[in-house]
Amino acid sequence: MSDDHCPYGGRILHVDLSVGRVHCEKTRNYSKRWIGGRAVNTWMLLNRIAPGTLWNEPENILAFGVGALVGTLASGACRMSVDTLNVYNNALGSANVGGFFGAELKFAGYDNLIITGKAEKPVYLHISDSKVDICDAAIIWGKDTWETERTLRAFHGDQRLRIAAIGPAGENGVYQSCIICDRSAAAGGCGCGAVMGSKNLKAIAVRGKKSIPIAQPDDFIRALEREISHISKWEHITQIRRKGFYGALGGRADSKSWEEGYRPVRNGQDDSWDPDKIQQISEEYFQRFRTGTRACFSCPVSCKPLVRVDEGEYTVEGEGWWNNSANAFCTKIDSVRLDAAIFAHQMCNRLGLDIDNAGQAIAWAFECFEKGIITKEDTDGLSLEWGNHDAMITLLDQIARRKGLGEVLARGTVRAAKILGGGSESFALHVKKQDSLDGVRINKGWGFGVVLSPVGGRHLRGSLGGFWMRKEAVNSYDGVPHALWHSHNKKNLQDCLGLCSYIYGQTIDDWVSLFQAASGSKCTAEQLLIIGVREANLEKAFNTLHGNFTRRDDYPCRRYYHEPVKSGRFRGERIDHVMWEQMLDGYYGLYGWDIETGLQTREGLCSIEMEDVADLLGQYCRLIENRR
Amino acid sequence: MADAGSSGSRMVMIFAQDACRGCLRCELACSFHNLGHHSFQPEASSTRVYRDNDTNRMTATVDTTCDMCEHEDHIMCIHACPFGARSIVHV
Ligand code: SF4
Ligand code: SF4
Ligand code: SF4
Repeated sequence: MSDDHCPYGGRILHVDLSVGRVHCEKTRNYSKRWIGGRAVNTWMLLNRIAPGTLWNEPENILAFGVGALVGTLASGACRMSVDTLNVYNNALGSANVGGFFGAELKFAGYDNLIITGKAEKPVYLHISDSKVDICDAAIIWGKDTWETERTLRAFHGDQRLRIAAIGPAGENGVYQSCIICDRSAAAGGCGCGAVMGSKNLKAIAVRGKKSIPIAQPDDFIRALEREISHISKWEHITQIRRKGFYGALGGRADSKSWEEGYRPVRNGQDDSWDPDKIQQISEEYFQRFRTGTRACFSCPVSCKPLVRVDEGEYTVEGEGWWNNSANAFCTKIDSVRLDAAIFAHQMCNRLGLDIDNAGQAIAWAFECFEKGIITKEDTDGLSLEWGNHDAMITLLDQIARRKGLGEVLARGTVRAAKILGGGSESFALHVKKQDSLDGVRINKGWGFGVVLSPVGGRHLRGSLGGFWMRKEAVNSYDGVPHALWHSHNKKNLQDCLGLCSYIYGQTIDDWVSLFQAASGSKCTAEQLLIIGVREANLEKAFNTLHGNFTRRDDYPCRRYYHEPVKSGRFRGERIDHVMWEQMLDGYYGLYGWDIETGLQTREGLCSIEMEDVADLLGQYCRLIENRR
Repeated sequence: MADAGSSGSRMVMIFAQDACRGCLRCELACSFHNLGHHSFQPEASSTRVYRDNDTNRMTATVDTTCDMCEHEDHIMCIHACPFGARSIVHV
């Protein structure tokens, strides 16, 4: 057993779809420096995609990276990173997904799957341990993600085959498309479904029988007992297990989330909503649609609600309802129809649409309608009046199929605004050209995290830390740079380990003991967190080379400076220019980046043993040699 | 569903379908037992849990390789289940 590489699958699978070639290399070549998952993906992207490459060119890479602890009993160890060029800006696209697919890929012996090229006609990958086949996708092309799973499981006669698939949205190159694993877990944002579609890759089906070895089993068991005792003590765990996060926390009528700006109203014209409307979509009402909860692989939390609407025009059954589903399909378009919103969420799962990006494009279209920039003539008679849930459902389908107004919206609002004009760009709410659903005006920690996310405008890259961690008032700017710096690094490490960020109670010390025992390494918490800092720098370098991003790209959009919150407890709140500048100075300083330009410095990179990345940036004149 | 044990009392494992959330921690734990505390692989588990993705119903099996966790401090699959979906009764 001396050749075991604990706790890895052991190999990285490369697939070139243009020539149909498959080869492997050892994970060991990367794991010491990058641990696994997301950082290995980013390293591949940085070194193998030439700057200037477009997302839909065959040279783009679509990388799947399973975290180091996935496949073990570590709690919530199910996460996989999906990294590629972002369709919105040709810079970093990066998503993170739970479910079961990632663990199965690892059981097949692969820690990362690196896909390049473009197949001549639609194909899917069938991976069964070392047997990797590129198969004709005629039986599934055009099908939604649920039908795709059903068909492939029946065709291969295996009900435990795990599937990652794109829906019609990904096939049609829709910017809001995502990759859906196991029917309901979404690798969302950055249009990675469209990237997969551009490669003519409809699905990946995997099954594996390799075991994941543990270096120090007794220590591992002790670490597991400790982390479970920590998780069990989290005050909300019992409620979350029964109701999910919306039901137990964010969706309760008395939750602060309604007043602290996490659910922007009418495309972000306001951050506070009528209490009567809140009642109509809150947990108190939502519970009638919830029939249970389900867990991802190896998760003791089980936060995913099972939902069922069994009467009316929106009957549907499925898994998943998040806090942001209520933003996308209720508050942002001012609709109180929870049944339609639940239906919309499940439509997104089937069509392969990202909830946040799709919801944001629709909210923007509604505001265009309000301002007369879009009229009924542009919508085939559809009235995009605030609250029109039927129109929202129609637009979701049109976006996925690029029909009607969907043809324009499917490019994201920045491009759509260029086409429609009329001042519509002023309320296209984006970060680095990617649509952003999240409110940033009130909670400054959350907002800063959303804007500084390396994947423009996404809240799952550390903003949760901004949300929970600070002791200061939510609208205060105090302590934000340090809290977010720490939270971003922590999240980066979490993604390398493959742990879910919703496992509250699990501590960094738990991560360290689990990783030490599983791998046999002696890495301390400090050494592991440095990997998080390095990953932040890898992504920053990638964004610099591919997106040409600098300090000027790290600001929220104009609405958040110039239009204060109109009502509620935080009426009048907006982003203060001077304070934002100070937060940027502080954040850049912590990473050792140049304050003036936001670019990386040789000194900063060398301090974390990244001279090679400094040299690469230097070659493209995108490095500050001497920090000012 | 499964039973084991010697003369006299018999142990039977009970699976509470409605409590199960499909996390497969029981399979991981059982595989760890069956693989001599060396590694994890659900295929090596004596118990399997299935989810029907159309109905969301959970079902479970225990096969004849189950030794009721002889020589372990706990019945591994029960100990690893966070949702109390598994238990043993003596009949
Ligand atoms: S906490 Fe929720 S999202 Fe995270 S692994 Fe568990 S079930 Fe999945
Ligand atoms: S009792 Fe032990 S051997 Fe039997 S199924 Fe459970 S874990 Fe496996
Ligand atoms: S550990 Fe419990 S909840 Fe999880 S699959 Fe097994 S029986 Fe179900």
